[in-house]
Amino acid sequence: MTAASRDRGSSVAVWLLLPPVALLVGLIVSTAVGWREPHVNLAEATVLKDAGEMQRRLWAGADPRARERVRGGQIMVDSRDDLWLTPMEAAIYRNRPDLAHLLLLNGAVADPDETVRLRCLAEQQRARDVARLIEAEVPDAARGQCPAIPVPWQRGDGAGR
Amino acid sequence: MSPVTARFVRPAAAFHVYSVALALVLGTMVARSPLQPSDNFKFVALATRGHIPDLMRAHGQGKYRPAGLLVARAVTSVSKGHEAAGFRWMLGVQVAATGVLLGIALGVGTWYEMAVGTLALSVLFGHQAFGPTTLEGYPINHFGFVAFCCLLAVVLVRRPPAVWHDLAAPALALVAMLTLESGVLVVAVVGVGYLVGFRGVSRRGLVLVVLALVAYVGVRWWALPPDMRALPFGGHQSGYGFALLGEDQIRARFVTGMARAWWRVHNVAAAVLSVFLAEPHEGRWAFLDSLRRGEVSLAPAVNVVSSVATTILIVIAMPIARRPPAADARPRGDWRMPALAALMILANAALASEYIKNDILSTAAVFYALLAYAGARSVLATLAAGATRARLVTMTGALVVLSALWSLRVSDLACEIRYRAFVKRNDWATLDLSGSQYSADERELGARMRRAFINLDVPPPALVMKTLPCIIREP
Repeated sequence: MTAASRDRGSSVAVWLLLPPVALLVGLIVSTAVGWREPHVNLAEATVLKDAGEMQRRLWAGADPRARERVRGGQIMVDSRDDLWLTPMEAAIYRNRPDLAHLLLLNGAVADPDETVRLRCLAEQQRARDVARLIEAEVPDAARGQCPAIPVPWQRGDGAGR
Repeated sequence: MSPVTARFVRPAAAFHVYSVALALVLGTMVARSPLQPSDNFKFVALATRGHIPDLMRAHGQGKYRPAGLLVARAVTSVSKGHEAAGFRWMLGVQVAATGVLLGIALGVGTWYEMAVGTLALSVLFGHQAFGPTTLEGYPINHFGFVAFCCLLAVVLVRRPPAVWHDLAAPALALVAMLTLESGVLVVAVVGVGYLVGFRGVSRRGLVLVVLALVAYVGVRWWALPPDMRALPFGGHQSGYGFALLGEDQIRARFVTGMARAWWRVHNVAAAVLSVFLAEPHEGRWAFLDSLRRGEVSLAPAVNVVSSVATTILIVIAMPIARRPPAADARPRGDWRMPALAALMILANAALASEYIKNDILSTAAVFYALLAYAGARSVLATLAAGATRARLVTMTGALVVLSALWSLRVSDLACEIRYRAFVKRNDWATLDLSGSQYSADERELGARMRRAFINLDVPPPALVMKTLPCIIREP
């Protein structure tokens, strides 16, 4: 190869290297910075549909019945305001029976009144699988008519599921 | 390239730094992902039970894969209760080693070879058929291991002759065949390599490889039950036209001998096309179907456009590669590697005659990357030697766009590895081990692996810092 063609080859090579070098830098940054477990509480993990983190929070001693702050904008991408939810309410909000099952296995519902409230909330929000799961898993879940239950994530600002 | 840079940085060294870095980053991502639950811990539990001769005899459903069980047993005994980490890292190392080995097989020597070498690596990792080797979290990634063995065989046959090559080649072929039926592709690499003129493995080595194949077929034919001789017809779903046919549908639709022969010819042809054009997808013309319905998604469009463009480049380059007689004398610039790669893609496609799945074609993806390298290299060498400025600018622009598209596919793979890691960890978290389908030792192993995988850090998709473009749809 002549010196002239070598120079031409080199200039083509420089241009051709741009996408793969950008890719490599992006991948390294993504692995080093982007691959991290965020700090979230149990209710937030449930809203994020993150069953793995939910289990970790439960192993770390998180109370599955506690009402916790769910940060608006970050966790609740469809709401700018913070919300206060129990993990079971978050599972109903997401209509995820598998997450509700994980919470129920860890004692998320013990109080009969709370059981009724959650079942009715689930039915009201058309989370019927979660409602059926509560009926199946919690022995004293009432099966009668439901009164109107206040929806924790609706405050008249239109924040939906 | 400035004279100072050219003096102190060697292209081959710079390329190997790049290939190792890319392979390590992707390998690390795989190693940071949980395995998928399914029946994986049942497989591991099976590997730890009984004596080694029992594992060597283990077979069923047309599969005879004792090497995977033996490796799983070795990993379990070495890791001493940390088998989850052992299997994760083994998968990660396998992915990284395949990338590094491809870098070695390319034999980069100049700056423009380095540039097209980076494209070849993107083609390997971005190819849809190689994806399952990084995404499917089985304790032993059989298809990925066979692809790695084939690449190792390519490196062996292209080296100068040596006695140890003649011994290593049959050993490699045996290990590959005892890992997965597709391991016969290692035999094909050595055989086709010899036919096209590579002499890294001599005639004596080739005879030993053929004897290894005969021994393997003999064991399957005479020592194992008759149902191990061939796969049952319609044993897996597969695409046909715009539809994905289920097992029963395949058996009902292709009844006569002629119809079944057509089904097999169709599958092989569809497999070849999918390697070169990214369509049909696992036998189904999914992209054309989406075009027809006006519902085109970005990811398959990028896949098809980049694959079609690369294949056009390969087709254009082939006559160029054959034209200069002097090229045949150069170690890296001859036609033998493209010929070996093209024939290996055909051989791999033949293994998809019963049904088409991307992972069956993961070895073909490796050879497609080698073919893309040969094509792009040939085009660039010709351009550098005597193209007009306008043609040079046009072709450079086209190659940069092509490289960007393949980089996007790799970036997307990284997004999918992370997303699947999240899904797999969730599957472990919601896994119910109390069922009667699990024995006591499986339950104990499953609980241990569950805890280990849940304790891995995996970001939820909604909170991931987007440092790379993702074109897959994440729910």
